[in-house]
This record gives sequence, C-alpha cells and structure tokens, in this order.
Amino acid sequence: MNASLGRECAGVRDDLSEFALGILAGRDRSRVLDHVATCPSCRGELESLAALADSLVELAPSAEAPVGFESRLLERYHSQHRHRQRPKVRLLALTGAALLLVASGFALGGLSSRRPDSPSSAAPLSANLTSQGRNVGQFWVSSETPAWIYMSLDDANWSGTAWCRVTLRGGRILDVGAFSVNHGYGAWAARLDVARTALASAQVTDGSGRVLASVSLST
Amino acid sequence: MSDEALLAGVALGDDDAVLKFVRRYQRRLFGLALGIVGDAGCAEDVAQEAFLRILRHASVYDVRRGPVSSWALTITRNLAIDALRLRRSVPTAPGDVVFANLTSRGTGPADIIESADPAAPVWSALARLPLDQRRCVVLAAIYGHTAVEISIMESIPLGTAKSRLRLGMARLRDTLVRESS
Repeated sequence: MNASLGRECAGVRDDLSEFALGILAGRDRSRVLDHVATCPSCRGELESLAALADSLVELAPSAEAPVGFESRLLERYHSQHRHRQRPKVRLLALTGAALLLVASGFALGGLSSRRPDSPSSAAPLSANLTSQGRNVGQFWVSSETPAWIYMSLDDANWSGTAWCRVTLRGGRILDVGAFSVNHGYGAWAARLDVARTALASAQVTDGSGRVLASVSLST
Repeated sequence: MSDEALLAGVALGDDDAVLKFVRRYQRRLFGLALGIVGDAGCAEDVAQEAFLRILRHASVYDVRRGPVSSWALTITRNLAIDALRLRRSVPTAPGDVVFANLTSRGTGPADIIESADPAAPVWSALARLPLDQRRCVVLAAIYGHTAVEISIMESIPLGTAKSRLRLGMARLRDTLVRESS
C-alpha cells in the first residue's frame, strides 16, 4: 500500500512545480488537487513551491505606463465605486481592513487581543479632521467593538512624527500611538479597546503638543 | 506608509490611499503586463483591469498569504496570461531586453549585499541556476508559458522542459530556504 502511495506521490510531484506556477491545465490539475487534499506531505511541498512562485513574480520588470494611464484608471474606478458603494459594503470593507491590520501586526502593542464582537448593521463613522476651520484629513471609526480607527492627514508641508490621542466621553484620554507624516501626508490605523460610542473626540499633535488636527465625534 | 496600511485605506474608501496605491504600483503592474502580452495597448487594458480588481477587493486581501506586491502582481500576471491565450495560438519566446536581463543578470556578492531590493535573494538564487533551467523558470514564472510552449520555444522535448522546470524550481526553493536559515 505504501508502495502504491509512493508511486502516486511521485507522479504528482512531477507536476507540482507547474501547478504552483499556474501553468498546469485540465486533467493534470484536477489530479494534483485531488491528491494534495489527502496527502499532507505533497501539500507541504506544494505550499513551499507556491511561495516560491509568488517570490518569482516579484522579479517582473517595471515599465513606464502610457500617458494618461492614471487618469483613465481613476475615472473608471470612481465610476464603478460610486455605483457600488453602499453602507453595508463599506462596513464589510472596514471589517476586512481591520483583519488585515491585525494580521500584519499594524495594531498597537498592549491593546486588548480579544476578538471583535459581531459587527452591527451600522456603517463606519466618517468625519473630517480639521485645523483652524479647514478640512485637513479624514477620520473613520468602525462600528465593531473594539473599534478601529483609520485616519488620513493631508495638510501643509510638515514632516515628522505625529501623535494621536482620543478623548472618551467620560473624560478619559487614550494615547493611541504615533505615525509618520511626510510633506504633510500621513495615514494610519489602530484598534482601540473601547466601543465607537465611547469616543468623544480625537487630536493629532506634533512632538511638542501642538495640535495639527482634531475631530469631534459627538453625535 | 506600508503597502498593507495603504490597502486598508483603499478598503475604507480613502481616495488619497487609492491614488498613492496606483502611483506606487503602476510601473510594476504595467511592466509585468507588457512583458507578457508584448503590446502596450493590451498591456494597459490588462493593468487597468488588474488595478480595478485589486482596489475592489482590497478588503479581502489576506496578509497571511504573502505581501501585497505578490498578490497584486499575481492578479496582473494571471489576467495577462488570459489575454495572451486569447490573442496568440503560437507561443513566441520573449525577445526583449527584459528577458535577457532576467536570464543573464549578474549577481556578485557585493551587489546583493548592497541592494535594498527585497527580491535580491531571489535574484541571487536565480542567477546561480544553470542557464537552461533559469530560462525555463523565467518563461513559466513570469511570462506564464506552459511546459508545452516552452518545449516549442526552446526546441526541446516536452519531458526535458518539464524536468528543467521541476529541477529549477526545487533548486531555487532549496537555495532560498538554506540561505534564510
């Protein structure tokens, strides 16, 4: 029986590289899929070859895109996005982004590691970050508990480290962390240990405490 | 800002993040598409479609499956290969300088040590493959050619094309594993 299994593995392994590279077609592809579903050894081999295939595509050459590429693309994107964008879609997007950030270690250390509760049907809250009455960025808060915040700042030509601090309704202040601002632009995300409804306001400051932007989240 | 954070902004509908993502990746996605389909008009169609899919599905990107760049490039590669299959019935080997560079690029130790390119170890390992295996791996991994197509392009039996691919991939993987440990 082992000999039979060995022959099957040997036959499949001949095709694993082509499978991992996405160039194996039809019946051979099905045969590999069927086999790796029940053979941990060949599945492990396939996973290592698939990781290599992903690395190899990174070697692809770059080239200057044609003039107008960016504007044509953004026009198509915004045209499609306007039709698609609904509150529920945005909520799902935020949930995915939050998972992405957890997995990438983007969240701040020291915060709660408990799983988010099931999302409610509410859409993420979006508000403008302002400075002296001007809109200088956007601030989003997810509807999950714990809540996620994401902000983008685009103002002036300042570069340096900015600090984010949120004030809760009871007056408690949370220093959420720091992020880089380059020539006035910076974007950042983090998970909080509180529900969205607990947030009252947020501030972005430079290292000296000067307020670069703020947002009131009173509803 | 990291690619992952940028993609989080895209998923949340931040237009600035979308613009930055497009600017960061347009040369790579267009370059890959052009390398595969060989025609600027078709390459733009492919790269645009790839961007639209990436932006639309930013929320489902799973960082555990690899870096954003690999995800974005693989989407582009697959779309380009689909487009190529529709247009060509006879495979032709890429004859451009890019292919020549991929298959003959030198990788002295100093180049690798000084390079900030995260793909430098892969370059180095690829450069140490025997040339016949290197050509097969590049034709398959980057240009998406099947073993049958490679056998025609390289004028070799199908079995030889398949074994060069298999040996080349195994050797590359083993080299990278050995050097990362």
